This record gives sequence, structure tokens and C-alpha cells, in this order.
Amino acid sequence: MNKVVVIEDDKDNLLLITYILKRGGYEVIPAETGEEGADLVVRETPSFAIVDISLPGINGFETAERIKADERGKGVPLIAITAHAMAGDRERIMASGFSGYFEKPIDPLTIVAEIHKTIGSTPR
Amino acid sequence: MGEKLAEEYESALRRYLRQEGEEPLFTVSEIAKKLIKDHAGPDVLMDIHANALSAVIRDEGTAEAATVMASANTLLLHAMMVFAMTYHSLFSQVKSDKKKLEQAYAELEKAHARLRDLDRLKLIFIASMSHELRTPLNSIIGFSSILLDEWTGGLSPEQKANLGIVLRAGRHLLSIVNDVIDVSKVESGMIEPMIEEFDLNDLIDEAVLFVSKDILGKGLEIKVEAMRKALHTDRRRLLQSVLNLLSNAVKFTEKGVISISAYGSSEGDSVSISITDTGVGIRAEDIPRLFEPFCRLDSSVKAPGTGLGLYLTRKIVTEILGGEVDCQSGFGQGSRFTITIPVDIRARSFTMKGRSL
Repeated sequence: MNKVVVIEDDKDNLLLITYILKRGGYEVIPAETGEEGADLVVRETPSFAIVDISLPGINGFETAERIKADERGKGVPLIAITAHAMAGDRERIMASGFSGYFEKPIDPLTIVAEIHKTIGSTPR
Repeated sequence: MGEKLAEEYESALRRYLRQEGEEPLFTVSEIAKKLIKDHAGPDVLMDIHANALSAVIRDEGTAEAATVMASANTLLLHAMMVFAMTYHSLFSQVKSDKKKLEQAYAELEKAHARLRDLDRLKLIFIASMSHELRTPLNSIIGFSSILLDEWTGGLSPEQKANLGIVLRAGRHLLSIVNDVIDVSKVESGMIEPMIEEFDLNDLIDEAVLFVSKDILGKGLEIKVEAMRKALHTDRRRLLQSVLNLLSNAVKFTEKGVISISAYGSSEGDSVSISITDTGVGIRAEDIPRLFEPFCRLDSSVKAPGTGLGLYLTRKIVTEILGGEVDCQSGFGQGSRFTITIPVDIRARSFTMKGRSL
């Protein structure tokens, strides 16, 4: 099964994303911090990873940079999820190695298709 | 003879001082003070002096005339000194006022800086509040969509209806949060226009696509007439403003037509987008209040809203897009809202022409 690493510190939102991705045919590997998430992405090389921007410890930007700095993590598409993009966030997200970003609230009925469009692939 | 001269001189002074009685003449310094108090300039003194002088000349050569002349000269000199002193004190007053003004200015600067800090704090507060609100809203909207889509099993019609209310309320709360954030951003001047080149017609088509479901769902007709014209402006903000007006039109119209027309000015430097409906309309006296924040007019239509939509639209159009929004309506006669913006936002100016309904 295709794996996705989801880095999200809010348990409710993590559960929601897990529901959505499972329905989309993915196995979800959850992480609650950027450090833990970056390690998992590098180790598991999932189909893609979803990264919340505001995280305890290292934030989503630093998490992405850490993943992209690793040879194994380089090829994993990263999708950012933000509660609210502030001025300049969009540029910063794209500059940090993300393939795309979504603002909360996400729409469960369309987000998987949107992600596929963003990373240019469909589940195998 | 000399006495007569002195009398003449004295009476000239008395005339000036409006002292016609038998009172003894004032001392010269008193006269000077009185002159100054009356804001009499040196010209008045000169008049009095000239008066005395003409009398002296008439009786030239007499000792009395010389005495009068001397006393007149003394008076003049004295008055000039008093004037000079007054000007000096006025001048130092100005100097100390200037110092006070500088102090007041410094305090104002400080107050201004404090206000700026507070405003910044308000923004940070709003940004973090919006984050805090959106996170639970993500769960409310997300989980109710999942349940409503029966991912977790079938629902009874009653359960569906109730869950539909939760979802709708969640989305409404989200739109309030979004409007509040946008208003605070625009008000604090945080939004820089993101200039894109795009076609007016394409933008109108996109806006119509967003609301066509609602328009057709209410059994309304849509008429679109939009010319092709390349625009250089903030596409997202223009779309947001047009959508705001369009969804208002749909909200307040129960039957008839929603028409959108978009056309360029004859000068070619501006475009106007008009959204006309056949809805409830607006009373003439209510039109000026329309664009105020939290303005909800009494209406037969109980439409949901944040009361910020038109306020925000006007703010965006005037402050970001450099244009104007205008409303023409009458109660029971439908409404027409028109956005007029420069074709190229970098020009920031355009020719306004008169419009009529």
C-alpha cells in the first residue's frame, strides 16, 4: 500500500487527515513533531508527506528543509497545510521545498484529488 | 501761544484716547501702553505726532512750540521703546511656544509609536486568533463532511439534516473569521496588490461559475456581457470583490435576472463591472449606510451574512485596486452595484465618467 507521512500536532486534525487518506487508498504514518516526521520521511520514503506549518519544536519550514537536505528525502513531494497563510508565507512555503500548500479547513471530498494534481501523480 | 499748542497736542491725544473730560493727561508710558493695548501701530503715534508737529510749525519759533515738539518727540521715543519691548516679549513668547510645540510634537510621536505598537499587537492577536479558530473549524467542517458523505455508514434523513446544520454553521463561522482577517489586513495596509495580467472576460466567467449553482438553484436567470480586455491588477482581490457583489445579488433576489456587464471606458484607462439584480432593492436613505461595517439593513429577506461583505469590498476596491464602488437602487426596484477600476493598477488614476442607471 502507498504510504503517506502526516506531520500534524493537532490530534483531531491528524485523525481527520488519516480518514481522508485511508479512503484515498493510503497507509498513514503519523508524526506529531517535525523532528519525528522528518526521520520517518527519510526512513520510509512515502508517496508524499503532509506537513503542518505550525508545529511544536522545529516548524514546518525547518522540517521541509531537513527532509530535502537528506538524499533519501529529496524526492518525496511535500504538501504544506497551514491554518492561515500570513503575508509572505506562500513564497516561504514554496521556497522551502514544498510542492504545494493547502489552507485549513481542507475539504475532505476533494483534497486527495487536489494533492494528486499538485504532485502530478495518482495512487499506484 | 505755547499753551495753546500744548492744548492742541493734548486734545489730539485725548481724541485718540477718547478722554474728553477734565482729567489730567496720562503719563507717556500709560499712553504708549494704551496704544499697544489697542493694537495701535506706530502709524497712530505718527498721526498724533504729525498733528502736534503741524501745530508747532504754525507757531514756529516760539519757546512753547519747541517745548511741545520736544515732549511730542519724547512721547514718540517712549512709545517706540514700549513697542520694541512688547515685540521682544512677543518674540520670546514665540520662542517658548516653539519649544512647547516641539515638546508636544515629541509626545505626539511617542503616542503615535505606542499606537503603532498596539496596532501591530492587534494584528498579531488577530492572526493567532484566526489560527486558533481555524484549527477546530477544520475538524468541525471536515468531520461533518465525512459523516454527511456517509464514509462511516448510512445516516437517517434526520441525522443528515442535523449534520447539514453543523456543516453550514461551521462554514458560516469560517466566512466570518475570513472577513475579519481580511478587514484587519486591509485596514492595517498590510495587503500589497499582487499584480497579474489577465482578461476581464475570463475573470467574469470564473466569478459566474462560482455562483451559477446558487443562481440556477433559485430559479434565477443569468445574463453575462463582458468584453475582452487585458487588465493589470490584483486578480484575486478583484475576483473576491466581484464574487461578494454577485453573491449579495443572489442572496437578495427571489425571482428574475442577475446580469453582469463588464466594459471599458471610452478613454480606455478604466473598466466597470456592473452587477444588476431584480431583487428587493435598497431604500434611498439606506444607501449611504450600505458600506459601513456590520451594517445589516432591515429587510424582508433574512439573509445570513457577516455584515462585513460590502465594507470589505469597498475597502479592497478603493484601497487595493485604486477604484470605486457605487450603488444605485430603489426599494422594490432591484439594485445595481458597479466596480470601476483602472485597467492598469500601476497607473493608479483613471477618468471617472458619469454613469446612469
